[in-house]
Amino acid sequence: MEKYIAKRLLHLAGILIAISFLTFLLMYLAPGDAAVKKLNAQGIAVSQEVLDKTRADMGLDRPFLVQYGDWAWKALRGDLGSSYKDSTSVAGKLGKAMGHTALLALGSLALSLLVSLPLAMLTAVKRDSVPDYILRFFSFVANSLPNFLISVLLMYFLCVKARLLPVVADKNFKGLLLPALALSIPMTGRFLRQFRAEILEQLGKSYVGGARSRGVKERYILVRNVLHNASISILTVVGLSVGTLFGGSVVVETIFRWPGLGKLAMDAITNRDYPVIQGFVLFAAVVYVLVNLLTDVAYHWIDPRVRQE
Amino acid sequence: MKEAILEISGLSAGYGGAPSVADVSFTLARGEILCVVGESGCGKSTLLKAVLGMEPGLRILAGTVTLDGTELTSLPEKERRKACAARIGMVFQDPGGAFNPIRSYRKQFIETLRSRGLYDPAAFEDRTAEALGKLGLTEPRRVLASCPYEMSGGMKARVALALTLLLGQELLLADEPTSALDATVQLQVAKELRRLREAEGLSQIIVTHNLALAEFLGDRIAVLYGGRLVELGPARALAAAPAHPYTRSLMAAIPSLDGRMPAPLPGQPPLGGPAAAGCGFADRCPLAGDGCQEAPYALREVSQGHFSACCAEGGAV
Amino acid sequence: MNVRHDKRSRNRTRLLIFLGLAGLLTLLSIFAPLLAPNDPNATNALHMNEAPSRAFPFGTDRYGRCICSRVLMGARTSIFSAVALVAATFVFGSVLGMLAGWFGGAADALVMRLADVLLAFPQMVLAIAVAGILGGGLFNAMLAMGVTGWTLYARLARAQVLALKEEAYVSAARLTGQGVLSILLKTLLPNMLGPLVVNASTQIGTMMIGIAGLSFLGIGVTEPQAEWGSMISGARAYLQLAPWAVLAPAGATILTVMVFNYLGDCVRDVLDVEGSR
Repeated sequence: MEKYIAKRLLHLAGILIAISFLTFLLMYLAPGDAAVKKLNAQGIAVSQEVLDKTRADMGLDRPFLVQYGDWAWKALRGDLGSSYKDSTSVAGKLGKAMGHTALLALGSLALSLLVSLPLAMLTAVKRDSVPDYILRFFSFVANSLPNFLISVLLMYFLCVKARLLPVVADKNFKGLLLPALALSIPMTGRFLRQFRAEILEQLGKSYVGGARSRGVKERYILVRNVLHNASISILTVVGLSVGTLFGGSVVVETIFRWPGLGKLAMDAITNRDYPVIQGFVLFAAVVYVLVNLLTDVAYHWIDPRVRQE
Repeated sequence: MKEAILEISGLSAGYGGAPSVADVSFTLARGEILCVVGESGCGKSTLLKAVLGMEPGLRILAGTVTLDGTELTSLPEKERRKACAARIGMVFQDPGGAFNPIRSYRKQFIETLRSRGLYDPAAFEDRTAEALGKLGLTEPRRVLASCPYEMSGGMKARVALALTLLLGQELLLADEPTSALDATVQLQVAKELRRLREAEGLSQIIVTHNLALAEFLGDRIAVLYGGRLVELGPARALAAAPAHPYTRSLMAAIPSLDGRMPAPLPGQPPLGGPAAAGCGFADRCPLAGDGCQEAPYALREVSQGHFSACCAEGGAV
Repeated sequence: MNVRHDKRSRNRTRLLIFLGLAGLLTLLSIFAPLLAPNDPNATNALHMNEAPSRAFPFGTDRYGRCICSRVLMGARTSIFSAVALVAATFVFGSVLGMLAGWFGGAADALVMRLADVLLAFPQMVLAIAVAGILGGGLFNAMLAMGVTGWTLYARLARAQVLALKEEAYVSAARLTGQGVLSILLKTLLPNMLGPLVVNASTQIGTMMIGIAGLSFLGIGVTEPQAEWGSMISGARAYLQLAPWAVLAPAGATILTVMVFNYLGDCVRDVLDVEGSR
């Protein structure tokens, strides 16, 4: 078991290094001079003197790998540089926004799971019945709706027309509702389709028939056996959703003005605040990798037959 | 005459309207082991499933199944399930397949017992140890803590049988319980089955294509061909002197170590289930006479307790 | 046997229907300039944020431009960019994957590690970052979505090549001295197309949504080019005043994405049922 963990950690380290390299490369390859961008972002007039000084300060004349190494080493210790716009710590900005996005992400994830899991079980058990067709249609539609579209439509129907909720979100639970709903609807659609398929597959396995012939209660079969065996697939889907949540948060938080990482990133893009963009991408990738690592480890706990490469 | 635990009378069953088995009748006495033999596709698995009545898509087209006085075929689905689950245990070809491969036996045993209202936490350990012990499994704690995927085929078969005992089921239906096992393990499991009958009085219907097993294990043997029972009789007598031409050809098809070569029959067994009229074997039968194509199906007593469906001259020994 | 046959013919009918619908939408977009009632870029100070009328079937936006015309032109952008992007990633990814699978060794490791790293990033996050940094525009948005898009086909193609490489007919082809390219294209590719095409067809909707999302955020298609995402974004501020400016492109987006998504499902159903994989 130790060998397995060691292998995984090594692999993880490799991926993290590669991620950081790619992220840094991304910024490095961005068109335009970094010093110019920084000065522009701060609204400082660019003169040759100021430019040269800024370039020297930023260490832009050093070879690429040195710059990368310097950045990566600092990043490892939590220093992600400072914002072009106001020179505050990027890590600090991320830290402040992190909590809000976490709340949003967990809220929408919880909402999606609470709705999709029971419905998936229902539609799998009552396959090809009327509720099954209706739900499959809705989940198909929900899955086809882009995040920004749902957000705008929700805003229109609930805020503008029905005047149920304010247009600008409060930073509390009431304000969380709309953005969470916007993120949750397409996710629920996707979850419903995929969970249903997995549960159907499990229901076709021989142990289900075996349990029935032994007289095991249907609800024991469904919850204790089918769900248990299906949870690997369920976990995979949830793990991958973390990625879409990050992406979706950019749109949703911007629309509803929820002060999370997504809004931070979008503002940074608008302001050409590259260090912040960089920090966001790095953070999102690292979290994504860690979450998927966790789900990988969890597989083994659910199904001991699973061996990782 | 020993008391009957299962009576099957004129049973026809099939998927989607056309019968896979037809006109099957026999009685299983309490504590008796009946081995049903036949080639692949003869309908022996369908027969078992029809008795249990839990196979989706399989319908009883005619006849009755009576379990210990209760006519199963007339009951609504839920009642039937309850009655069956209480008294009948089923073991499949892959004995581990009936269990969730990645959950411990302990959890699955408990949930089965709970579902049947038989779970007593205080007595569970002892009773399970006893049942497992009867099947030759001496480390009950280890067995219960294991998951099916970790166990060998033979052990999985034993655990499945142990649960049958725990559930107090009196009739065991087994569909090729040994076919997936190694030869030596096959014998062990067969011996366990016999022991269960001696010690616990477990009545059994064992479906198998292995004639040697049937002869070793069964009190009686039933031969199925093309969805119909063509011969039924005491195991030893039937094996020594088969009355139906098909059974004779089955016996002759076994190569033996003394150099006797198998003599296969021409043609193929019918694919479409029991023939509507006449003998389904007539087209391949060396004894087929003029009346065989139209003669209605009927089991005729050839000697004490030994029946054959053959109606041709020289068919009866 | 009969049940299976029915299912297959039903699947095929559905595929034809949705192929037809998608084709119809594509035709609409091709003939958009002819079908548009007005010039999509013509601003009109007198008719800003007007409700739908005879002259302007879907009303006008904040600059007085005809929404109907813009929606039609937007169809062009959305459909063609998505299809082109899928085609490009399909070709690029499949070729890389086939080469990686066939030659193995360092080339294989390189391609696969690259794919792994790219996939370690959430797709949209990377796309947003790339598009944002490159500064927007349709081409950059497509590039941004394509950066991770090819990996799907590469992995699939590689897996297929690895599996089929050992087949007898491939060895036969090698023995007869057929060139690598010829083997890859004529012998292997036809047998691999199924899953690849299935994936491609399901990706069209995803790419469409992605590009629209990027345009919505302002880092995709830029004004004055008509694109549904950017139209929705631009009209958002006037939501109360002129809801049709949002609803029309929104409806068009939903409709088109649903048609292409369902088409993808149909393709999968037909190819999966017929294939014996």
